[in-house]
Amino acid sequence: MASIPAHDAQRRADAVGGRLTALFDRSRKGIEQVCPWELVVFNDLSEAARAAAAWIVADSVMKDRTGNQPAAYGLWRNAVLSGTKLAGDDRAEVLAFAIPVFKAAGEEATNALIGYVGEWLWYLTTRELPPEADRTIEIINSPSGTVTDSGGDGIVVHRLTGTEGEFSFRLWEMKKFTADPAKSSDVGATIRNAWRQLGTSGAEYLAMMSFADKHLSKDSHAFVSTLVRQWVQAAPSSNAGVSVALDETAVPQQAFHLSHTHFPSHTHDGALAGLIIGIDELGEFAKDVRSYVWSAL
Amino acid sequence: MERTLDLQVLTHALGDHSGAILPTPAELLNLLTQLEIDALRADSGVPEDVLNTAWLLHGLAAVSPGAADYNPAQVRHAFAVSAHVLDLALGGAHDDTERLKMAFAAQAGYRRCEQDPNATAVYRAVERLVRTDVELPDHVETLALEAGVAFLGMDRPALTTALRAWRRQLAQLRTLLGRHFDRPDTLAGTMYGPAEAVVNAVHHLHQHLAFGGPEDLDIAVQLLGRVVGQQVGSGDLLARWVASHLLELSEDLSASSLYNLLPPGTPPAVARTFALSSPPVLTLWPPQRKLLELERGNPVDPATPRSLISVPTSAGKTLMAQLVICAHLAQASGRVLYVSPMRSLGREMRQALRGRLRLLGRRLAAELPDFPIGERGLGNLNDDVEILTPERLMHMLRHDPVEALDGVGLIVVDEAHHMARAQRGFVLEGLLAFCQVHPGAPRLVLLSAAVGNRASLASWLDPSRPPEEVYFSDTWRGPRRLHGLLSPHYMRDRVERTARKPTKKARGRVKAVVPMALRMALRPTTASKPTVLLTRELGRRSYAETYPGDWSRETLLAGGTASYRLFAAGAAYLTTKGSVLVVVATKKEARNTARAITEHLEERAEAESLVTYLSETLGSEHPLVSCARKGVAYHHGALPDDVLEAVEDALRAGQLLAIASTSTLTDGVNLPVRTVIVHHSISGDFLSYERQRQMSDAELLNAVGRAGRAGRESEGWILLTRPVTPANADFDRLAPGDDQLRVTSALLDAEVLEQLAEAENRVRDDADEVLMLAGTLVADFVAYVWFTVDALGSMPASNSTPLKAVENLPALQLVEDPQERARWLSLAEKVAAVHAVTSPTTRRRWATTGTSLFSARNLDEVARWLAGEVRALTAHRDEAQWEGDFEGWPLAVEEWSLRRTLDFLTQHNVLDMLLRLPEVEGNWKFTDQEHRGKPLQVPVSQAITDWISGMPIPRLAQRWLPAVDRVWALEQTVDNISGTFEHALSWTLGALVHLVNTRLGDAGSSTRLHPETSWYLRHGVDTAQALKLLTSGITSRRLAHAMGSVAAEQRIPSADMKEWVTAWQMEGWISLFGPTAREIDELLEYVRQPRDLIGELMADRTPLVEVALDPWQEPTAGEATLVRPSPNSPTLSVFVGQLWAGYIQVQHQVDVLAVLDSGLPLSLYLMNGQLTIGKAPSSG
Repeated sequence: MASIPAHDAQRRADAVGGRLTALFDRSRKGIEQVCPWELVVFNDLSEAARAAAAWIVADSVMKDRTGNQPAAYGLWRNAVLSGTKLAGDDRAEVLAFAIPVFKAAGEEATNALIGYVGEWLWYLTTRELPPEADRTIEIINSPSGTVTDSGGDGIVVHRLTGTEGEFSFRLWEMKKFTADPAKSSDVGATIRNAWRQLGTSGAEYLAMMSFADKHLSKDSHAFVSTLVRQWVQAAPSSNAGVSVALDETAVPQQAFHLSHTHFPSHTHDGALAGLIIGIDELGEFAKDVRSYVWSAL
Repeated sequence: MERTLDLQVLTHALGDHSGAILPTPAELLNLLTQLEIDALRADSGVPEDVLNTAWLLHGLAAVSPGAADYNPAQVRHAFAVSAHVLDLALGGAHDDTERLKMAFAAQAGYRRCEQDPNATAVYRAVERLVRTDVELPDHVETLALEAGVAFLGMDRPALTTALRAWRRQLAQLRTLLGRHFDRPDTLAGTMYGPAEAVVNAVHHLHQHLAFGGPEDLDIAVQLLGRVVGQQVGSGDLLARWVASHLLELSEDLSASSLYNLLPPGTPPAVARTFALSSPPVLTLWPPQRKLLELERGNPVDPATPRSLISVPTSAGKTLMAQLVICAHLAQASGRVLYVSPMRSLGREMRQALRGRLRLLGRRLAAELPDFPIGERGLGNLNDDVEILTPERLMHMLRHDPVEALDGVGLIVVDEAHHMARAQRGFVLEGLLAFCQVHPGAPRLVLLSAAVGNRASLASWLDPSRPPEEVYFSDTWRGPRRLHGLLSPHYMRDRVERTARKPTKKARGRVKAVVPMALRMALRPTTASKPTVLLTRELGRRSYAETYPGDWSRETLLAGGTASYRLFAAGAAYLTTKGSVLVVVATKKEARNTARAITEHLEERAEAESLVTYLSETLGSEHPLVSCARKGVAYHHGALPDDVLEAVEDALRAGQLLAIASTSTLTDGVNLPVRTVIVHHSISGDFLSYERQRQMSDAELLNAVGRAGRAGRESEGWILLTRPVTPANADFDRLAPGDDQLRVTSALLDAEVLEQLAEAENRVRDDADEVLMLAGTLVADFVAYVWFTVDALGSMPASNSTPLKAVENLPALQLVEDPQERARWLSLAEKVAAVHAVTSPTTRRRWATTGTSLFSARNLDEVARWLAGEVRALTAHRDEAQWEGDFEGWPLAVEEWSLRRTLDFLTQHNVLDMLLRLPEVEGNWKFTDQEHRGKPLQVPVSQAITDWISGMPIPRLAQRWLPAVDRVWALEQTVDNISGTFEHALSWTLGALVHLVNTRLGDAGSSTRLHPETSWYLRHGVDTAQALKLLTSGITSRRLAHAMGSVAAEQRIPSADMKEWVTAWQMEGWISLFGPTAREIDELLEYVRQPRDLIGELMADRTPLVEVALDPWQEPTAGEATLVRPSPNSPTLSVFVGQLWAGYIQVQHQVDVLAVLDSGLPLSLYLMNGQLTIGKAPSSG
């Protein structure tokens, strides 16, 4: 159970406009590398800031799942914020949106939960980024409900400003890294593995995206339907990224410096990018997110 | 296989994208070839990098028409290759969600590259992942995917069930959300929105394909558009992916629906019939579409008089035949005769057409014996479709050439290339030639998978039109095929040698014991080098060596492992991948092979119902029963028809893993399987198995065609066995060319021409010698000439020359050597001359028997004698009647009872005489043991009495062969009953009784032998009531006998049997007759009162159906639900709330079930013992 009540967490979140990025510092690293990266960490190490972040993630997930319908979303939110337990049909309604990711307990489920929260952290911190001078986000999809242990995929399609109907995209592989003191694991292995997976599960994701989102708008149709073609030709419009969510204590000084050797197909400038989201006790943070969602049930 | 394992195809598919990420075409070809080989191994799967390539190819195909460098061929090939790999990948280990994704991608790919049945086959591999037994939240992430997979599976009953369950769950959730008046009851926008829209779109697409309504297509397209436009929710990528594919496929799916393909003016009921009956046809396969789109010479157009459809097996030929039949019934007048020389194919067609015709409100004639008995034997001429063998149609024509084709509008002949075969093939050839010159010639449509000379056959069929307007041909087929060669492998490095004492037969002084394994050479493509796989040791062979390696047939010592046992081990292994058919030469080999396969398998619970049926029918010690326990069976012509049908049903239902079958025309298994192993000498073999008949190229092609069940699996394997290590050239034997598949006539075979020369010698000086010819194809030709000359001469409307039906034989039309034609015609003229000088009544009688003229004359002579005997016995009656009758009144005919007829025939030793006819000779043989047994005599007349008394086969075996080993006794009993009673003897006895009765009638006698005697013998029953059942669709002799006996005791006229059986309802059937599930199905079909309930519902009517109410409670009324029959409860139960109220009366069960299966949303209300069925408004 999160130590800070939901309504306190929500109040703090509201104070920063409900924006996750307002609670984090984002810094650029490895600028001289083939694959530069960004580090995202809390700018305030207080419990309150941490609770606010967990609330923003929980609230965003539920808003996304309920489609922001005033009825179901409001029912859940009011109950959580007022500390009320739902019963009967109301409980059944909210349950229908809260499971399955938030349903189960146990280590396996917690692992999946951490991965899912990691994907949401990537999604929210990316979505909230201010518009850049030369490009704007055209397509970014919220993480799918299908949780796999191997990590998820994401894509950001940018519309290039200044030119008519031109786009670029970056395919992201998202990983979580929970250091196990008993094992000699390191972030480098996770990142290496992520680049490798970009070539496998990434292909599947990209193939699906090429069909799924080509009908979204007329002027992005041709671009989206040829995502795979651009990818296999390593076209300058196709880029790759790896995002890792981990315990803040495990944030490395150096990362992604060997990425171009693990993922050699794309060599143009800016082809590769990294992102590390460091959160103190990531596993506990994920459980806090779950507990805010679940506290009404 | 060759469609994607082809460098050119792969080059197309990969386009110019090969490089760091995608492999080169050559690399990909190697990878795919290896995958195919791996697929045969135990743990097949696809390496990650190949899978990755497949997904990328899938994605490459996303480019839409209109894009800058859109290339339709590349898109099609990319879809094809990706589908192929993803399909193979399903054989590996993946989590459920991943499997569903791969399955849908493969299905979409297959549909987009026109390999439609493979999309259904993929569904079969993942159907258990389509969940209706879990709560929505537990699978909402994959719900759209499941809906997509189920839809492209096109398994209508399963799809209907799933859609019903999902839509109910979604409706419940909507109700929950909208439980207060101020809350919207919609899931749009929520995490359920996209999946809900996909489920509803699938529902409407299904409705569109099943019922043809254009509005359903519009709604589906709108819904899918909302999903891909993210208007109903944004988080569900899988739903958008599925929706995008369905959106792009929807137009093609609609265009390939029968509603859009049948010629304008065809009643929609025809399309509905195919969509709603089993197996459901929602969309047609490419060659079927092409057939329906033919502008000239379309066989579905009733104006097309003659057609030849020549497409490979598994291209949907059987469905084409059904379309031709149903379209004819809907648009033109006249009955349809479907002629199949293969009984197995006839049975399959019977099963499929029964459901089709039911929904069309038409009747399928019950199966009758090949030989007719008087007018009754012609069958019910009011039935719309009759499925029959060439023999039966020929017998009908012989009996009455005018009546037999009266009212017939269309004859469809399947597997028409069989006309080139000896004996039975000639019956078909003659039949076709005669029907063409018949004054009432109906439309004629021939189907075949193996016609090399299509154009010349088409010219023969319809000389008035260009051949390309007469034949339709297409090379498309469903599953891919992989070829392989099996051979024994000597494990030379493990040979053990010991000294031995030489014997006279085996002089070698060294005994070499060689461990034996099975060698499998596999070649996925014609371009690839064969890959050889070897098994572990499967047995040993010993040789008496005079020098090391002196291994030959001569030095082989007894007791070693025979080749068939090695091949059987291979067959058993391959059952892990799907069903296996082993084609062998003889019935003994079929049995032994089946037994050898069972040695490698465990008991199979799925085959339990077959085991029960076979135990009851054949006796539990019959070898087929012990085989069936392990999911293996054998199939040959010496097994009773009902047993063969049960075996075929079990194979179709997946209860059997393997089947060993003979290859003969009559008895071949027509069902598709995953793997076909041809263990048979084939045409052109130098190295043949001992004493084996050689399979013709057409037969081989037919066997090859069985490999790969379209819609069940996307790949089939065809393996040819070779006695020694084969050469690469042996692979070519599996793909005979057009030259090898020329269809002409057995009359032109060298062996038959020699027989002709012999006959020419005999008749040169004495034309009457034509009457002495017997036992050869020349004798069959002579009998045919006799019959056609007689028939054409006696038909009033005929203006043909007497030999027109002879001149029109394909043998004489397609022959290249004019001299051969002249020789046959010369013989025919001699026959015609003898016919001309024979008295009209005699020559007519000889034309009716269906035997050689030699036997016809003999039979007629016996008939003369027997008629005289009958007249002597009944002279007093005829005289008394004559005295008492007024002038001009006909005598009342008295038919002797069956018993009296049989006693009379026995007293005159007629049955023994019939057993000596050339047509029957070789039957009714018993020995005391299987190997080198001594002959045993079983008196045939007593045996007939036992048989028709309904005694079960195990008891007959005990009675006839009390001192013989039980297993051998059972086998012989079954063989003899099948060969003698069910075929040869009943046919000739029928001919004889007919001749006797004709003579009695001609002589003015009022007495007749029992005209149906031979049918009683054929079916093994002794009451008219039982015979009625067995000639009305019931195949179980046990059930017919049991019901017949009770009905006879109650003096129920056989004409009233249907009402009597109906009145018992299900409780009566079960308590009195204990029917099996299979027997219940037959009874339900028999008592059915045909009603087009779906048609009534479509016309917005609300039909009423009688319910058998629970007698133990007060009649209830209210909203009702129906619960389908199950093995424990064979009725269609009616519930009101939770309360069981009764069941749909048996005469309506089949039709009400069809309504349930249709997927129409229904509202049901029970009141006063009647169920009102209405169409419920569709939501969503």
